[in-house]
Amino acid sequence: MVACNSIQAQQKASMSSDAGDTTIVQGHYSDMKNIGFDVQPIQHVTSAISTVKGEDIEKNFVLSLGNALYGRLPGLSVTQGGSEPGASSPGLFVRGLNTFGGASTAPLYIIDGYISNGSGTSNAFTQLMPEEIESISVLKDASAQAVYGARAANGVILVTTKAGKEGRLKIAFTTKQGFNQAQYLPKFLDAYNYSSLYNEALVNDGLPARYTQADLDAYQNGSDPVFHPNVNWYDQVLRPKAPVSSYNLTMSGGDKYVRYFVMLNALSSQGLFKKFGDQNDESSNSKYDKYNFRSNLDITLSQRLSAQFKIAGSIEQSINPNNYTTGGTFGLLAQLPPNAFPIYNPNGSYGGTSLYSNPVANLLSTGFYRDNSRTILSSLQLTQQLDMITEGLSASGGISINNFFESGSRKTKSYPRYTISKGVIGDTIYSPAVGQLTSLSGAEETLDQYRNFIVQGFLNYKRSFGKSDISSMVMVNADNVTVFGPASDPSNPTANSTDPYRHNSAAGRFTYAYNNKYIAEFSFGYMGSEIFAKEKRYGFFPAGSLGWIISNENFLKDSKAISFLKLRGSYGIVGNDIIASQGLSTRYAYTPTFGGGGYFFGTGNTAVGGFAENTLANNNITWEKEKSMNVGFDATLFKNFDLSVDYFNRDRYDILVPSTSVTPLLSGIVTQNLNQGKTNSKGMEVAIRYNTNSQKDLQFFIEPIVSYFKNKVVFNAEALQLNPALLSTGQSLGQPFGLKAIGFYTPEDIAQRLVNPKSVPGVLTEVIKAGDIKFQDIGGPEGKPDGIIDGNDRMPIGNPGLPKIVAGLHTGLKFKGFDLDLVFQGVTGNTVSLTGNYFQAFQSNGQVAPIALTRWTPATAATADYPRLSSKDNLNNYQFSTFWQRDGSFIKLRSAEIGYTLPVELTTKVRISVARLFLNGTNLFSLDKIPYGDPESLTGYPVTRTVTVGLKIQL
Amino acid sequence: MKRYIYLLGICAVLVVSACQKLDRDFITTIGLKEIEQSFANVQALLTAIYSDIPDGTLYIGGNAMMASATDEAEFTSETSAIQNFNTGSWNAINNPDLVWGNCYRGIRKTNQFLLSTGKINLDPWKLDPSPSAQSVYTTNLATIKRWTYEARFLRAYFYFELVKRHGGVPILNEALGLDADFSTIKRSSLNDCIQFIVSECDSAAAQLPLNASTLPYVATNDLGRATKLAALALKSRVLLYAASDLFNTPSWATGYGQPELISLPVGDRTARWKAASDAAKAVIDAAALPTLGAYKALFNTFNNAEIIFTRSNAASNTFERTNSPIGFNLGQSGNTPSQDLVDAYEIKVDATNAIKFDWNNPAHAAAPYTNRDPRLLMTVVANNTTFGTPNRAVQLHTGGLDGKPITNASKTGYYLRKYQIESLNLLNGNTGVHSWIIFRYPEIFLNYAEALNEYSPGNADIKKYVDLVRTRTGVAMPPMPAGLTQVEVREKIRNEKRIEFAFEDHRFWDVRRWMIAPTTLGKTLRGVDITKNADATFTYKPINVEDRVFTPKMYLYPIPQSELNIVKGLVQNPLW
Repeated sequence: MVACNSIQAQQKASMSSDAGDTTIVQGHYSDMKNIGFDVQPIQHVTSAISTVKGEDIEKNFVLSLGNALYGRLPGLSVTQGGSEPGASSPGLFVRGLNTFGGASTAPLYIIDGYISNGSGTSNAFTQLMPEEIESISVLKDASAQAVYGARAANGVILVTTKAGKEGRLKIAFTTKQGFNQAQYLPKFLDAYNYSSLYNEALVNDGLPARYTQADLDAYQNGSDPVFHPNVNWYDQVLRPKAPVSSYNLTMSGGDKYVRYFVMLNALSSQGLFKKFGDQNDESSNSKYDKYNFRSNLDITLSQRLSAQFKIAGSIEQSINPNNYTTGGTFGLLAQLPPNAFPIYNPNGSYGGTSLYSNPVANLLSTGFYRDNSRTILSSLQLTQQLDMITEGLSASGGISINNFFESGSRKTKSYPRYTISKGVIGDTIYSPAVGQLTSLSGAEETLDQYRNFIVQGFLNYKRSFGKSDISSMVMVNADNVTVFGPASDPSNPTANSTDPYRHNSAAGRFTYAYNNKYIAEFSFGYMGSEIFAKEKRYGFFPAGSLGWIISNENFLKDSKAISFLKLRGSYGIVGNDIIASQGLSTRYAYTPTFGGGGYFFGTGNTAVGGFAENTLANNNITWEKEKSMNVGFDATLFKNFDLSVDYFNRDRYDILVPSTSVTPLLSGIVTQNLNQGKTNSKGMEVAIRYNTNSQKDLQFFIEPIVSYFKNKVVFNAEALQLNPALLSTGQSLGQPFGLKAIGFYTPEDIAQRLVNPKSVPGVLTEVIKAGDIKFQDIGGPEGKPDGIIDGNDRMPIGNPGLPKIVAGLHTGLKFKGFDLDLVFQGVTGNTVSLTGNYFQAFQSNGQVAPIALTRWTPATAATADYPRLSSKDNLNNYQFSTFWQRDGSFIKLRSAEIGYTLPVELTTKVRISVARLFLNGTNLFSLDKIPYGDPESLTGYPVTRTVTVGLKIQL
Repeated sequence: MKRYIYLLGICAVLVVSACQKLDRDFITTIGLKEIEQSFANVQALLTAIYSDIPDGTLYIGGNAMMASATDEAEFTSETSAIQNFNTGSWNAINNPDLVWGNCYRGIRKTNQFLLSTGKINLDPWKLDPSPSAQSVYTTNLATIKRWTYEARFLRAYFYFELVKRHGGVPILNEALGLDADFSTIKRSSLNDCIQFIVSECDSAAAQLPLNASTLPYVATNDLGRATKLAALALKSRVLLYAASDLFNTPSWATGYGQPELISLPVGDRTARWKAASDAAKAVIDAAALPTLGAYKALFNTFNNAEIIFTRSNAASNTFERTNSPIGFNLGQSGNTPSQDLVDAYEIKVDATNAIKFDWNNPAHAAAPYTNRDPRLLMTVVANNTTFGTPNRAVQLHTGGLDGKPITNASKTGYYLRKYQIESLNLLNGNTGVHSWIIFRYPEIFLNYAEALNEYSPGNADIKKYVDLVRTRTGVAMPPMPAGLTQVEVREKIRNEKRIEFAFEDHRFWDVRRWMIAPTTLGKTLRGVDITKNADATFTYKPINVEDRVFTPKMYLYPIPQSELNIVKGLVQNPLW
């Protein structure tokens, strides 16, 4: 979304509900934008904020809210998580990454003014439905973030939910019915090809072939499915489509005393596994359900006193076969050769070996697992106008209580599997059972729970004097998060206690606008957290910004080309206080730790406990800080062409790094963390919107956005290296190092190596043969090429992290009753690495994928693009190297919706104000350079696309 | 209006009550203050110092022994960091032996501990007039005093480990904080370091019980603690190093600006040898000498009268898994003895004569393991000798179960036997205690003989104490011949040291202090190629295994570059 204001945006916004803006609105600005703890006239916004409206992200079928944000907000990177229903959520990153080590990179989530904590699916943000959302904003620069002080440096995601408006009751009912299916399933060679290639691999390794010609023939003609099976395990476990559905009911309206917005939502998605529960009572079909509700009330208690009460929640339940865990099943599917064993032996028992379990049996005969979670969000806020003291003054206070609970119920059993072999007379010989039949046993577990208690108080003053607009806000906030369960520190049970995470803060903002041309703003956060030493507990985070609306100057006032132009710039300091593991045992750096150092004494070699000094008490440990600069402009050209451009520079410092660069070893101090790390990142965002005049029959809009960032490590106290090319400093954050592949060894190379091994560099860990991947000898222990390929020969390769460039394209049109809406997301500037059974033939006793068909053989040496086959885990070929790197760029159609709204004349007859039929596709296709899968998710649960038809009726 | 004030009041109360306290609700970790209060906790601080004593069994990278960086052995894995010593590719940035930080860690703990001992709260006993309480008070006071000497001995040991590697090092006798100014720290001269270690040994020896069975020590509880004998033994080793060539011959680093860091002042070598000899004699005279018992079993125990000081460890079988022959369950070959070491073991001709092994002698070459010094086959697994659980003959010949061309089979034609607890069934996960002997009597005997031979050649004690080592139970090698020249005796003693202490991390340092490293570490390491003949006999042929690199700078370790970058006052060692 274009982050600016414009005449057009104002029109658009005024058409949509603005009920989220509940604080007093200065009279002559109708169009307000949500900012931290407040709202502001769009024209006066001088910080970098991008916003998307709830109604724009409704045209999706997503189980986790983050999945609706691909390509929608400039400056927000959304990385795809797993596709298993309810099991994961996408990663959201504001303006790339700017820290490393143990520090959190996640943005701060604020829902209706209150923080929402928890990571991944336990964060209430992921549970919300698009239908209850008024807008989602991303606060990107210090000026927008400073009021959140020490928690804001990774960006802030601000969610505002819908509120009722004065008027008659509006009821909207939407249902979507459809299916989801795998976008791509990994392909592997069948039994005949597998066994032929396996023979070749064995011969390459100097071992005898395993399969005879008769075996190969049997695989090819399928004449012996018992002893020569050819099983496509994916087909046995997964079904082509699984149904999804959702139902949404909203009611809103009110009078001048009470306004309400109520939503009920039910959503269901069945997993891609076959219906194993139908085949066996002791398994379960795979299903995910989510129920949401919300009730937002605005109550005018008296002329000057108003109250806001919001309560919302979600209840999630997923049920799956017990042994379904994504990695386990999909890892086995990728590994298991097609000829390993038949699904069922002739006597009806499960096939299997001691090495591999049977994927069908794993889902059918191991019990089931049910996961439940509940989220409750509630808040109450009272606002008192104090215009009897002075006009424009108001005070308000609020509390919020949130709760999250997740538990699991596991019913486990195991099954026996048998390996069969053919006896001399052609009979079937059964091996002893691997595993045994047990009855179903149950276990209940609490997985995660937390409770949030937040209190806030505000004083607002907003008034206009002549040409001056003054807006100011000061507030205090105290929040207290008590975490139980594994999220606090899974490795340390004693840390699963209830020492709460607490913040006290104060914040303020003062905005002055003169003549609607010149805007100056100062904001600050003053925040303290219990994880720091007493004297270092509180920090001050100021930011300032300036704006100049040039188009309101006389010389542009009458310009036809430039309808609106605003320059803005901001600078400030924000912090990130999630600097290390937040478990109780590690979060207080100001207390020293002692432990370990036991020894053995006495004739019995008795262990005696010791107290070894570990980390010293370090009262100076503090939060990360970031000096953040942003400049940009917003423009509207020719009335319906919006342009918004931002450039930023962020200098993060005080990142925790090991003390090794300042504390010598001879001090004897155990390496600990000090606030010394530094990074820098820069980037820009461009957002454009064009739309036709809304009065015409054919309406059309197109809205491309592009975000770019680059970051680098400025200081990370890394260990010295003789080869400076191996240093991370100066490289991008998370830059991996690997070998550079330079083709394949030729038979001549191998002959040469026999004479002088170092003349043709190779690894020491593997006997190199012709057709193995050859790597460049870049360095050695002394920094010079040494004829040996090892860790010293690595160089920076690839970018497995966030793509450097993320683009989105939102476009649509309306023609009479028809409408079309498309959202594309494209990324470039990242790489993926092909590893594991999906790509590396026969690794870990695995199978072989078609990528290996173009392998090196003496005959195909000239054209081969895959190393010679090897039956063992080849330590040369399968090292991390450029050979397995691929460009990770893609363009995806994230959502597409085509709809038809029945003519109003027709629907009003049955007292329906809007009736719209639509067909929606989510994640329909991906254009990319990886022919073997989805570049964002090469392994595990397949990426799914969802197709639904829907109906929306509004009364 | 009243109503507004009322409401404002509510808001104010809300806001004020919101400002919660940010202190921790409860403390779950123990800090130094709490530790120092308690007698038992301060004892645990001392225990933690002991845990920093280096363990040579699984030393470099958790598997290789320092022997594999000498002419004693070759480590099988080519990618082990130990190989950097052999290829000469080690330096101030990449040094496989990370003692610098570890020893200074122990030194810091000691310095901190010495402060803590003064803060223990003994009031519950001191203020209780009852005789029993007063007796506990007195005992505790004495115990605390003894602890300080144990700690000071350990600190002296850590300093010596640093000095033998780096020459003079900074002597730090306080535990510095994170915000200390490190840049001004300087290396002390080698002489100051030696003097400091010796004087600490003297103090400790004067105060510590003689051995683990001397009250107040009770062996059941206190075996393994620092003793008077250990302090005297350390002094003996330090003074021997101080008298030896390396620390008295700065010419290997001609032109080095600060020779006092790498060598002692020019002075009376004879006096230095005498000091070394006297220090060794002090150990010998301190207690009745034990009878030297079985050689092989010595290395599978931590409780033997011959052992003066040892590094204890938990029971484990990692050593066996690392070093067992490749054909044995879970064996990884590990440290494999070299032909050079094997050749150093003499042939026992009769009760009085022993001769050198000679490959040019067809009888020797045909049966290279016959009539050898018994310590050979107690140290080395040679071809066709039995080993392990289940017990079988090791097949080191080409094509054998444990020989080439199996991947990771021994490159030298031998496997290590010393330290291995052969009775462990590795598949069953059996474990045993592997302690690392730091001082044992034979070293003192050879220290004494070596020093005596330098300043009083022909002294009868030389032969007496060398023979004590040679004629131990189960070894019974013929005594050293009488009438040898000083040079011949020197060679005999050096060879005896090499054999008796193979794999005990003496060779790496001895060849340096004798300054014979260029010809011992800098030459090609040899192994043996074994062919099994049709008549089931074997043919042995020495082969070259690895070309080794030694240049003079390697007499001493470099100071780690990361330290030089921070501690600007440090000076790098010569030639690095």
